Amino acid sequence: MHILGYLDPGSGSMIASAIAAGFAGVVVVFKMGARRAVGFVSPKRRKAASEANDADNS
Amino acid sequence: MSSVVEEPGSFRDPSSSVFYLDGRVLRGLDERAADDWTALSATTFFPKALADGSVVSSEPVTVADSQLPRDYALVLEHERIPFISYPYEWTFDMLRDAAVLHLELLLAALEAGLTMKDGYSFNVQWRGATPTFIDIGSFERGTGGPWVGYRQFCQTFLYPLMLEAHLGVPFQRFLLGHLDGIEPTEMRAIFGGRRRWKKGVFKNVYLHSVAETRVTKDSEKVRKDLGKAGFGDELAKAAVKKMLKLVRGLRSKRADSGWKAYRETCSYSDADREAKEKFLREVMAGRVTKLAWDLGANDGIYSRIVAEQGGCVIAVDNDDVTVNAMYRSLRADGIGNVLPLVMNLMDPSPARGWRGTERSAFTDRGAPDLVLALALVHHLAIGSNVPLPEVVSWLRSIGGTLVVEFVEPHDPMAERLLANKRAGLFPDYRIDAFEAELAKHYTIERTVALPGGSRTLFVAEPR
Repeated sequence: MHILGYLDPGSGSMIASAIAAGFAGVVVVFKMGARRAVGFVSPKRRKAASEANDADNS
Repeated sequence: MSSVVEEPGSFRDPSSSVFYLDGRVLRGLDERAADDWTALSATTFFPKALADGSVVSSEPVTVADSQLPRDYALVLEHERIPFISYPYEWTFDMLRDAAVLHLELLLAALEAGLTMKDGYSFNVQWRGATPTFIDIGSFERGTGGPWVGYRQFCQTFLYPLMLEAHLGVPFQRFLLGHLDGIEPTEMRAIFGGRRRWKKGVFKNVYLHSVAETRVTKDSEKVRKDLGKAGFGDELAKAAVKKMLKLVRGLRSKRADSGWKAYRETCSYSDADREAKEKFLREVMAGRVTKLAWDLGANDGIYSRIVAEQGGCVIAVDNDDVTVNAMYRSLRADGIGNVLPLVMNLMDPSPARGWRGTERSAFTDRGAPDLVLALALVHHLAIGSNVPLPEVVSWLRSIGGTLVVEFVEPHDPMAERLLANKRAGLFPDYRIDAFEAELAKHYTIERTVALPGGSRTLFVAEPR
C-alpha cells in the first residue's frame, strides 16, 4: 500500500527527520543502513537480486 | 443565480480543496479526507482547538450538488478570515508563533493517532494578531513512520526564522521570492564554515542537505525502510518536540531600527500628537468600518483608535522591527482586530504562484472602506520621488474614505528628507498643489491644521 500523501516528503528529508528525533532516531538510521548492508551480502538477497536480473534479461 | 468560485491557491491536495459559494467559504473533501475528518472530529484535541480558535471554525454542511464545483464526499463550511496575509508579510515573531502553533497541533494530532500531511507556513492565517490554522484537510489518520512535513516545515518556517535569528537577515524577501521556501542546499551554502555550529543548524540544515544530496531512493522505499528499522510514532513525536523547543528558543537578531523609536524621536509636539488623535477619534465617531488600512502604521497607535470601532484594521509598515514591536504590543494588550503586516508600499506584495493567482496581490484581497495615510505622503513623494499626482491617484485607486496628512516642506521631518535630494527637485510639493490634486479625485470633507504649523489633516470621500 502506498502511504505517501500529495506532497513528496523527500527521501533524504525523511532520513533527516529521523536524525532530528535525536539519538534514538540516529540509531534507527544506522539500523536502516545496517539492514541494507546485511541484505546486500546475504545469500537470500543475492539470490533474489540474481533472479530479478535474469527476469529483466529474458 | 449562485456564484461558485474555486480558490486558486487550493489545488495542491486533490483530496481537500476550498471554494466560495455566494461569499461562504467551503471545503470539499473526497472520501478518504472525509474519513480523516471523522477521525479528527472524534479526537479530544480538535474540539478544544476549534473552541480556542487555534484552528479555523469548521462544520459539515449540506450543499446542493448543483452548487458544487465537483463531486465531494463531504463539504465543510469555514469562517471567513477577515484579511488573508502571507508569511512574506509577517514579522519574525509572527512567523515563529505560527510555527509553534503548527507544531503544537501536529504534536496533539500525533498523540491522538493522527498526523499532518504537510508543514506549510501558508496554512496559518490571522484573526488580528492571533494565528489560526486553516488547512483542516492537512490532518489525516496516522500511518506511523517519519514526519512527512519536515522538509516543508524547514523550508517555510525554520530556515526563514534561522536567517533572522542567527544572521540578522530579514526573511521576508526570501519567502516572497520563492513560495516553497529556502532549500536545504541553499541554507547549507549560507550557513557554511563556523555558522554550521549555530543552534539547530548542523542537524536541520547541514545533515538535512547532505541526506538530500546522497539519498536517491524513492520516498516510499525510504519510508518503508525507516519503518522496518523501527521508526514509529514515538520517534516522530520526539522529532516534533525537539523542533518545538528549537523554534521557541529562536529570537530575532534585528532588535532595533531607526523607526522603532520614531514616535519618541520625531519632531511631533505633544500638542500635534494630541490634536491628531482627537481628530481621528472625531472622524471615527459613529462611523462603521468593516476593513481599514493604516498605511505607514509605525507603532500602530492610530490603527488602535480605528480598531476601537470593532472593524478589522490592517496596519502596514515597511520596517519589520517596528511592526514586530507592534505585534508584540497588540498581543500583550489583547487587541484582537489589528493585523500588523510588513510591506514596502513602493513595492507591495504582487500576485504570486501558479498563473499568478495562487497568492493574491495585496491590493486584491478586499477593498478597505477607510484608508489612513498619516505621515506617509512625504515619504513617497520626497523619499521615493513619486510625483504627488501619482500618490493621490494611487490612494484613490485603493478606494474608501481617506484620512491623509500632508507634511509641509518646512516641517523638520520633510526637511530631513529634502536635505538628501538636489535642491529644487520637488517644486510641486506644496500644500496647495496637494489639496488641488486631492480635490480632483475626492470631495474634501474636512481639513485641520495641526498646532505645530507644518502639518495638515484631510478627510476626503472618493468622488
